[in-house]
Amino acid sequence: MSLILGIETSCDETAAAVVEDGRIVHSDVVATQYEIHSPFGGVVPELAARSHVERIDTVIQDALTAAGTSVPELDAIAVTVGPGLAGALLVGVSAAKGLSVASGVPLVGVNHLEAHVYANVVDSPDFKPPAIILLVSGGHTMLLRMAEDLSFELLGQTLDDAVGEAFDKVGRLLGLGYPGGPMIDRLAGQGDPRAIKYPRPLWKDGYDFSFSGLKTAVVQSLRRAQARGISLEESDIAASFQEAAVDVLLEKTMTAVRDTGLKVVALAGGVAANSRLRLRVMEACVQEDVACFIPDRSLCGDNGVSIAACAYRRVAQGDYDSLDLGVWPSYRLGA
Amino acid sequence: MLFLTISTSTEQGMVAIGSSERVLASASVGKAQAQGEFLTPAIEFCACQAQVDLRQIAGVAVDRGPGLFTGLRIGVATAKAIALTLSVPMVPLESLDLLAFAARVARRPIWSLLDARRGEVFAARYRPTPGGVERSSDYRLATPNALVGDLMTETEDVLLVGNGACQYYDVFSRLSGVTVGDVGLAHPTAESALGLACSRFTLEEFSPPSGVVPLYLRKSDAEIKWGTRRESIGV
Ligand SMILES: [Zn+2]
Repeated sequence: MSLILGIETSCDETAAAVVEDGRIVHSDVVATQYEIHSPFGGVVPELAARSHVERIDTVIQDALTAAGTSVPELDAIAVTVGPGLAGALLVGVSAAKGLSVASGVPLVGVNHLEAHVYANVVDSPDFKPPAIILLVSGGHTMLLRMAEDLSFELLGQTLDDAVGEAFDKVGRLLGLGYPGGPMIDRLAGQGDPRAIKYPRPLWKDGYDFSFSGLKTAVVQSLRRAQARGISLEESDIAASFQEAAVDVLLEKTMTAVRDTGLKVVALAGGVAANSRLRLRVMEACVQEDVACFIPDRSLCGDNGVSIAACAYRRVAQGDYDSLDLGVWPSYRLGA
Repeated sequence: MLFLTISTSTEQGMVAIGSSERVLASASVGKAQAQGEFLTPAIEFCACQAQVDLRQIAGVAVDRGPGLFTGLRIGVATAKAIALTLSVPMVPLESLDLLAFAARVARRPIWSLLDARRGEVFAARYRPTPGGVERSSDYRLATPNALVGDLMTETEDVLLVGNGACQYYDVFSRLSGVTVGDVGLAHPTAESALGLACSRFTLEEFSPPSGVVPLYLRKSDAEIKWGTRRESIGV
C-alpha cells in the first residue's frame, strides 16, 4: 500500500489530500480564495500567493489529521509544480520540500494538467488509456490523446480564450459575479438553448478551439436587442451561449474518437463540472458505444486528491524528485 | 538548545543550525531568484555538516520580513512545513530586528533600513538594551527623503544598518551624526538569527505554524489600484 499526500496551490485554491494507492481518499481539504478575488473579477496573483502562505500549514495539517496520519508515515509527498501562477506554485512546492527534508519522505513534482486527467481514476478504477481526453478549465481547453499512463499527445487547443474564461466573461456581462461558470450553468437550466443563434467557432475545422468570438457574439446580441428595444431573457442568453460552447467541445471530441478509433473518452478540468457538458458527452458516448469517464464534480476543480492520484503512477515507477525541485509556471502537456 | 533558522527576506538568503553560542553550520546564496531551489537542499546540507538530526531542534526560527515578497513566502512556507513535521514551535523574527540585533553593541540608536524597491525602504528605529535591542518605532515603508527628515530630529548620533542604508549611502552619509554601516551589517546573519531566536524562545515568544505570516508593509498592486479607484469614485 502507498499513502500519498497531494498538495495543490497553482491558482486560487489551497488544497491538500491524503490518498491511498491512487484512489482511496482518506482526506480532501480545499480552502477556496473565492471571497478574496471576487471584488476584482478575477484571480489576483499576489493576493493568491499571500493567501496560500497563510493557509498552507493549516490545510496540510487538516488533511493529515482527517486521514489519521502524520508526515513520517507517508510514502510520498506530491505537489503541483506547474502550470500555474509562479508565486502561488512556490508556496506549495516550498511547503512540500519542507515536509520532505524534515521527514525523509520522498518528493514527487506533478504536472497540474496531468493531475486533472487522473481525477478520473479516483472513482473509476477501470479508467485506462488509450483514451481521448477533453481537458477544459478557466485556463485551458485541450483535446488530448492519452496513449498510455503519463503519456499525452496534444491534438488541439484553444487559439484564444479558454472555455472557462469565456464562461466567466459572459457571466460578468450578465452581472452574475465571479466565477461565472457555475452561475451560467444554473441560469441556463431555466432558459431555452435555441432562443438565440450564436456561432459555433471553428465548427468541423480541425481540433483547435476559439472562444473569443463567441463571447463577442453575446455582447453583440445584447447590443442589438437594446437598440431594438427588446429585452432578452438572461436565462436564454446563458442557455444559448452554453449550448454553442458545448456543441463545439462535443463535436471535436467525438471527431477525435472517430478519427483515432479509440473507445474511451474522459473529461477533465473545472468546466467538466458543467451539467450540460456532462450530459451531452455521456449521451454522445452511449450513442457511439464509447466508454465515458467524468470525474465527480468535487474533483473537477483544483484539489489535492488528483495530485496524489497522479503521483501514484510516478511512485509506482520509482520516479521521484530531489529537494532542488523548482516550479514550472508554463509546464505543458503533450507538446 | 538548537534551532534551525531561515532568512530569505533579502537577496542574501541564509540557513543556519546552531545555538545562541555557536553556529554549527550555515549556508547562504546571494541571488534572490535562486532561493526557491537553494533553501531546502541548504537545510539538508547544514544538518548533515553539523551532524544534527532535524528532530533534535527545539524550534524553527524564520525571518518573516519585511523584505522581498517571494523570498518571504519561500522561507515562511518551508519553515511552517518543517515545524509541522517535527511538531516544534516556530519563532518568527523580523528582518529589521535581525539587522539591529547584529549591531546591538553600538552605544547609540540604530535605524534598520531594507531596500523595498520602487524608491522606498522598510525601516524601524531601535535602542540598544543590555544584551539586545528594543524597537522604538513602528515598522514602516518610507522614501529615503522622508527618513532624512526623521534623522534630522535625532538628538544623539545614530547608526544606520541594512542594505537600504547601503543603497542610499549618498543620501544618508551627508547627514551629521549619522554613520552608515557597511556591507557586513547589510543582511540578516546566522549569528544574529540564532541569537535572537534563542532569546525570543526563552521569553516564550514562539507560535504554532498557523500564527506565522509574512510582514509585507505594502499592499498588492491590485489593492492599491482598487483603493485609488474607489477613492476617485468617492466610495
Ligand atoms: Zn486546474
